Amino acid sequence: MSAFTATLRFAFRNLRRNRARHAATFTAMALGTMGLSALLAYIVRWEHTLRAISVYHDFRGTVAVFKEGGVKNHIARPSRYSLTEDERHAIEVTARGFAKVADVGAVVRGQGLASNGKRSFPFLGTGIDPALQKKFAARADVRKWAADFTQLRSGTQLWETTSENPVGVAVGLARLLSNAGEGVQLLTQGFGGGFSAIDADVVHSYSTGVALTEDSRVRMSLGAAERLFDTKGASWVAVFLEDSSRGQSIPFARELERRLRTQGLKVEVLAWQDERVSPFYVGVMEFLYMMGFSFFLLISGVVALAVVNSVLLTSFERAKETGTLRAVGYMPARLAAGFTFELMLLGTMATLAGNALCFLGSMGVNALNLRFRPPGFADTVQFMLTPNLITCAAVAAAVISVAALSAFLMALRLAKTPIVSLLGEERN
Amino acid sequence: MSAGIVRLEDVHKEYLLGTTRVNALTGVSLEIHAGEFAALVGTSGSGKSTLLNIVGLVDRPTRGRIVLEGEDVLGLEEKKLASLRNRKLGYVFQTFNLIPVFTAHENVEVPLLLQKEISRQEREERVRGALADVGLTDHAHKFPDTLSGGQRQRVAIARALVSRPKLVLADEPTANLDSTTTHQIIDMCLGLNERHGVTFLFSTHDEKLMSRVSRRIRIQDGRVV
Repeated sequence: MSAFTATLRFAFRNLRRNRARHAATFTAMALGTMGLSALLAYIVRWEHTLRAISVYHDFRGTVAVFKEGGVKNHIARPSRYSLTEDERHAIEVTARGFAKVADVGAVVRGQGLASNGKRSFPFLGTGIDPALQKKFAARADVRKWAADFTQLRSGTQLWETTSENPVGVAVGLARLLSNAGEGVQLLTQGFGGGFSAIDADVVHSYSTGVALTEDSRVRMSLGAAERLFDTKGASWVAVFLEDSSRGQSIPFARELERRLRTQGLKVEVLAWQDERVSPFYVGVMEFLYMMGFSFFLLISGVVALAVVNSVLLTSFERAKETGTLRAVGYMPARLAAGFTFELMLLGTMATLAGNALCFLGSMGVNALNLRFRPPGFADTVQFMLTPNLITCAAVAAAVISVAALSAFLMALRLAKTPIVSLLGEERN
Repeated sequence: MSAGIVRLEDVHKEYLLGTTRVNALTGVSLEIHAGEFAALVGTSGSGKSTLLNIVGLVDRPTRGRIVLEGEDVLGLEEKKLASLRNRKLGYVFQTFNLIPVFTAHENVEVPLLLQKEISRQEREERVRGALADVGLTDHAHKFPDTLSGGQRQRVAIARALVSRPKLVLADEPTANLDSTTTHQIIDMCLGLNERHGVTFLFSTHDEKLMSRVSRRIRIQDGRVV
């Protein structure tokens, strides 16, 4: 046998000794892996969901192009901070010049009063291109991750109606207006400063997903918004890449801004992950990442303690063997590496089992369709766990690393003990 | 007289037993020559195992000098000492100290795995040869827990011999064996000494072994007397 084969064989056969102890260590690592993978699966689910909502449902795009200062002020002072027709056109043309751009769409957003003829309520309205909205609603990732947020409460989609001014009204506002499915008058101050109003047809009611905004949101076709706000410009232009990951969006935002500025356009281009564009996404994800990190530390500590405990007991038990191997010429680091390899082997098996449990458990949990209402949400959402191979592999690597490091440090301490002490020789 | 393999000069060993300082060896000077079949003899606590451990480089003296094949070894770094233990010394323990998860063959092979210059084929041949020398060819693939005490000690001797060391150190090798097996083990070691010129240094208080060695080095209260 080669030295490597010997180490492998030694590790495998040693795992058959003290099965109860190894089973306990195995269980600690497997459960730790299962917990971490499930937690990561939960975080990944929300990352995907909030990304789909931000990019497609809220029409932020992979990047959003605002007039300089517009990201903060486009609602309060549209006359100064909305994009003009020419700017909008130049941005759309420039963005379409990138091969990786899939779609470009202008968004008109503004506030006003919605009236049912008897009472008026303030609203924040968003005008979007129904054709793009239809396209995005059909996307696999939107359907998979944001289904809870894209289904209508009643009525038909904006792209399914022949109405000239179709609008969708958030459920809370629809309740206040008490006439969803009928006409509504929308009154605003146009982007140019003058008063403007349209008679709109309420074609559906929907949930914004956020309790605070349920009684104030209206969405409408881009044409209706242009008429309502009396503009051919836009609040922002949303540019969509097929891949909205951080690695794509941030460099693209920089490059697009550079190109637009070279044309003399005073704009700011923000990736969708920017807190100014997607504050809800950023807030929730920061909380989840912190929670995940805390749990990771906690579970890693438990795994490390389990491994240290196991290695400590094993090292006492194998002190004479260790001393014998040192006496025939083996160095401490090599013996420690052998112990480490043994724990890595156990760790590999445990993490495979833990991840398998995570996948099985997730399937069970998802099949049960458990629903809950997260703080601040308007409605319940499904408790979903979506583990994937990458996150599970990352968890496995982390658990095995923690186990290996703990084992190596403990074993090295043992292996460096004087040989005569390891052999337990009596001096006679 | 043949060349000296190992020479000890004024070796002292002190250690703490609780808070008490114990002088295990006091000014021991000694030389072991190639081909010797020698034994350190003495009562329990006389210091013979300590001396054997120091000769075997598994323990360090408090002061003194150890010269192994002309090289003063006390100043050497641990890596070099480990290499000397692996290549020039063989160690047989009183309690055999076999690796329980390895077969007899694998146990014997363990020291050779550190010697990268030896090919796999040569290693196999040397392991088989060492097992044949101790009469265990038929038991090569048995695990230690299926072997008798005598067979285990033979495996331990084969492990000590497989590196073709200059000196084999055996600490009370017959202490855990019955009378018949003790005779067999002594005969076997003597045969290896006579046939192959293997140098043995035992520590023992076994009369049967003491009566067969060619040189007795008596230790008393940490001194050679």
